Amino acid sequence: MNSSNLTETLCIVGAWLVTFGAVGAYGAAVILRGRRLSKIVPPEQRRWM
Amino acid sequence: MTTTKIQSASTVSPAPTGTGSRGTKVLGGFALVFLAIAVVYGLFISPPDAQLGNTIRIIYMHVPTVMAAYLAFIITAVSSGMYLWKRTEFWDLLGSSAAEIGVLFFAVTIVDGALWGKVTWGVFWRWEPRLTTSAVLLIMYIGYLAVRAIPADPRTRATRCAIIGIVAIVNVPIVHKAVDWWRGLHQGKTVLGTIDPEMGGTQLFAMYSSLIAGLLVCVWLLIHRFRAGFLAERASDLGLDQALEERRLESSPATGEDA
Amino acid sequence: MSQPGGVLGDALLVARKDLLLERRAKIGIGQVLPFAILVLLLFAFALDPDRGILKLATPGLFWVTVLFSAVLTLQRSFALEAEDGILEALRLSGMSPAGIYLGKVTALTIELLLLEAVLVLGVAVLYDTKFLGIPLLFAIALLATLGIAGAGAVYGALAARLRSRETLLPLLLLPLLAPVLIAATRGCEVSLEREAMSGWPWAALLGIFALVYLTLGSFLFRPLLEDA
Repeated sequence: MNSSNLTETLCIVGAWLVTFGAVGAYGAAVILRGRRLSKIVPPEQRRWM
Repeated sequence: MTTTKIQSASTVSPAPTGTGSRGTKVLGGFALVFLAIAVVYGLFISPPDAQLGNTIRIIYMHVPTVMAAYLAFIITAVSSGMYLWKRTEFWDLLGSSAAEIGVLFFAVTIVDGALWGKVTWGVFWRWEPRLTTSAVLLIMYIGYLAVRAIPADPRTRATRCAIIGIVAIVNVPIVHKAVDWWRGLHQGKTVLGTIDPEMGGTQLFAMYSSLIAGLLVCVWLLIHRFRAGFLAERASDLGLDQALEERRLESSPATGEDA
Repeated sequence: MSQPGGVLGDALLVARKDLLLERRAKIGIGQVLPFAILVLLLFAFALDPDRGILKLATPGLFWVTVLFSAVLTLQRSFALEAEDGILEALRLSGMSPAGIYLGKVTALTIELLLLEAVLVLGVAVLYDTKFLGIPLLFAIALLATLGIAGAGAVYGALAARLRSRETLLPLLLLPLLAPVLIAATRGCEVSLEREAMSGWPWAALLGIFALVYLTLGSFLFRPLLEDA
């Protein structure tokens, strides 16, 4: 009983952590990549609307 | 000459130093607000479900990610079709950016589904229709990204990807149907991934706020990924000049020419 | 494009060319077919044949073997074209892309059906299978093979000119064909009387799959030949 409660809590927390972790890590990677690339690309070619 | 042009351009209004803009900041802000609501309601305020118990809290993550993934794949498909019609870099970049984000969300969906299964069934994986479908579709889009990663002339690469993007989306309903019938013979309907109309108020609130948050995050990521992809293309356009320039700078102190 | 033969004429021409090439080279009979029979043997080694697992799994094993053999056949069929620049030559000769596509599909379908015919004999002998519901079996084999060839020709042509085609084609094609595997396997189980439900819905699903991919391929083959 106790161990199944533990599994449940672990799985719920795990699901949220995986979701936020994976999406967050991907977002961070994209942002950093964008910053790195903007140093190379001249300003007149990086205007967003 | 060129430097003065750049300076005059940047004094008018400074060019952004990343892939952000006012639009993405507002969008990101909204996404964060909804995410915060989803965390508070989904994890703490909303009660356990009558049928699902506390595992409904996994569903609060599972449904938004699968919806975001499908949104991304639909964008990929539409962009693929538009690319074959218009042949512009915009549609190619949009399609490939969306495919990458779709794969990300789909992978997360499957992990969430397996964790839900661990609590509900006691095992991580059962051949549950939605999980099975997701696994097949995930691998299909990993194939898209694999083709995308092969260096090629931009038009060639874009055409290959557009064809795969169209073929893949057409397969989605067929895989759904086949897997549904396949499992339908052996087990009853599943609750995973459906929004129960009898959900209580706070549960519904948690579900919808996480759904909205998921879709906002998806769009926000898509814009950033698109811009990063655009910058990468410009950088590779510059690539050759850049490499030559760097070579010249590296060699100049040693040889003393151009000093 | 005012070809005398039109799309169907082009298709027949390409199909005849492919079948003629195959008859001369005998790769299908000499290599793919022995490979397929070898897979049947390996399954028997992996799944203890005395405990009836083999008999239960026969339709699935049969169709998995067909899928693997189809990948090999496709590699072969399109590698020839890519190496010799035949696809370019066909396109420049003014043939319609849809005709070229349908021709490739026809040739592939015929080759795969012949392979399946031999494999059925192999399964009957090696796995001791008894066949019932022959019309359903025929319908499923034909529709599933059309679907495999229809989807396979698109991805075969797409992967042909890539250096990593040997690994890429299965990665692209096999998930796409997952519904075909499911439908063909379940449908065959009906004709072997392992499932209570009728097998014709599965045949219908296979038919829809084949139709969708033949239509899609006819349209996509033009950009595929021109740009990919």
